[in-house]
Amino acid sequence: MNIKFILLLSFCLLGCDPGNKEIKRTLSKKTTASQDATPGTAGPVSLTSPAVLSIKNCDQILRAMEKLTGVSRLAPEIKAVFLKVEGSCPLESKPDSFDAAQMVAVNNLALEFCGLYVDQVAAKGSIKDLDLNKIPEQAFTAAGLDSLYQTFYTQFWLGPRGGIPPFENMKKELDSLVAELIRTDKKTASATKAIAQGLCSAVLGAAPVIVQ
Amino acid sequence: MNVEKKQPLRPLGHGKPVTRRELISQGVISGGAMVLTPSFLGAIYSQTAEGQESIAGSCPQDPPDTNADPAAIVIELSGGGNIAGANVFVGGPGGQGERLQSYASLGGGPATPTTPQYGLVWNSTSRMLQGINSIITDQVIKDKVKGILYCTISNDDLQTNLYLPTHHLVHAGAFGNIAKLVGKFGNESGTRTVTGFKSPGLTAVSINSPNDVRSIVERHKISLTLSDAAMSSILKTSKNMGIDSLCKISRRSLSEQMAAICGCRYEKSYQLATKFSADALDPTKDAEINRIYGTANATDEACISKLVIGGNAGVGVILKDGYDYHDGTRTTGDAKDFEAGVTIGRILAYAASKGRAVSIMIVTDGGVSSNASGAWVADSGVRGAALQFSYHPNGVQTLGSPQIGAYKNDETVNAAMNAVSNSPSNLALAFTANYLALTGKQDDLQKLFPNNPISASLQTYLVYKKSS
Repeated sequence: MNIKFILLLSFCLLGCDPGNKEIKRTLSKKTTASQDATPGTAGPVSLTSPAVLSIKNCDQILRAMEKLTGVSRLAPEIKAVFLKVEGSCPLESKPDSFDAAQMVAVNNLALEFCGLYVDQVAAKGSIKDLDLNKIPEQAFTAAGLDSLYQTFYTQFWLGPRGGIPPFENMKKELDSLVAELIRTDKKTASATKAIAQGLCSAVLGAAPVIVQ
Repeated sequence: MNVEKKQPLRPLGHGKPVTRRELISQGVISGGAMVLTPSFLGAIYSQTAEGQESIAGSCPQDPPDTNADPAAIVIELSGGGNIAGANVFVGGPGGQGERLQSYASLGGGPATPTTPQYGLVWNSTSRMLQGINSIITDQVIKDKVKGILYCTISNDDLQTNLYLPTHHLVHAGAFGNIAKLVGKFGNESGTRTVTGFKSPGLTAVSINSPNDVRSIVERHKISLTLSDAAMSSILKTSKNMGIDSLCKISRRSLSEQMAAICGCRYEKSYQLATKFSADALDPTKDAEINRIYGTANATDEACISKLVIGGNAGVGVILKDGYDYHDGTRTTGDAKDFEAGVTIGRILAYAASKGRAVSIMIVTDGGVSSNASGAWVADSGVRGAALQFSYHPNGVQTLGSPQIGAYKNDETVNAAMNAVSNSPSNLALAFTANYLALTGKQDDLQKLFPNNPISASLQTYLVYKKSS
């Protein structure tokens, strides 16, 4: 294999775009140094080192949500929401500066990613025992919900590893949420998707995704 | 300080801003690999078995009432406009009453007539004063406003004058319900100029229009299918699964930063994030804003005034371009000075309408000199100055002379007069000291900023005293 090709391939696997060096440099000035750690290679973070724990900045959050949901951050719907919330999206946020405005911005981004994600899931019927095209009472059976939670847990929080909160904790919180959301008086399939979208965003906008 | 012009002005007065919008549009194109490794949780959650200590109840008290302290707004006149001379009258070490031999290079002519107002002596022809008075016509309100003139040098046309007190004020407790700092740009300072003192991690929420304001609290469209209450529940669940879990770990094992996101402050943020309607924050829906700002009710100035004076943002920064107005005429500068006065007047009027105390700090990068006929002809940072205006519903109490520092007879700042005369970063401290003094907390300056250069002789820099 051509050595130049190997080098280029390695370069691109690290997330670099040879055609956008200037853009990358600009971004790197505006974002925290740790944003581009390669998945799976970053070790546990020391709690005694205050410099390493922070709320991800907006760009990092977008990239994280894209990776986890498989929904492109280039999607027009995502860009539209981003343009609305960009003014209050975290830039270089330390945990103690994470305020209400930023919380809403992250939540709105998570909801938009989840809207497209749920549409995909519904179209494919890819969640076992869960048909999102039914009305809420019919769709959210115990088995269907369990299957949905398992998907979120493994896909968004990367599963039971490294001390991630136990699945049971997530299930308890989401069961409580779905019981509340299902009380909506809208008994339609669109309400079913909206509830799934809400459950998804609660997981996607949680600390395991937005804190680094 | 060696004051010199280090770079030419660009068309808008300063360097090219880099907004988040620009950044993300570029980043989106670049398509890099993503990173998500919640591995830090391995370190955190592995310790949950050691202690399930709840943080709830460990906070000493609720966050303070954001309306208890004066609202704080900084106005940056970008380009180095005139403050002392053609607008606020300036004197020697004896204060505004000690006339200089001439005001020819300060746009004031040889025998400037003066007029007292807002606790200051003004050049009678001041366009800035006319601008303020074009908004504030009620003598009762006028009597409750007091100004301070700081004679201080800053570099001409530079974004590195460290005079912004924004982070100081947040550090001193100027919190808002929803955001701590709002400004034109979503960067560290909210404007183009950098900050000297930095409150860790503090970045401004970018506010340029009512849509920006609304987006701060606007619910996602899913709320149309579900409900606003459902949105709150989703946010609460997200919080419960994340931050609250982190906070159940023994605090002993938390870093300082992680501890900071636990407890009341985060809880308060969550509550507030679900509390406000977009209409409640939208300036165009506010009758007083509409009355005072008129057709300018959708500008960044109206939005920032509404957020800050409403207690929903801690500190606001208004950036006004076009103050590098030494174009050989007086006309351009007069128009811009009037405009600055209108901006000041509107903030004061809105604060008065809401019964909220406010302190407005006005900075400009450098200064300007005039020829004998009063036309502005050149940059001149040694002819610089800054202003602070405060309004209190019961009137602002003052200690004495409203002039901090002095000018010399050569019509330049007496750079050796005090610690503020030749130091923009000390000016930021003096602003903060006077802001604190409005609530009798001026002595906190030393605790908040240990070993700062002005606390040792604080009385030199104080004009305000506790007003209540």
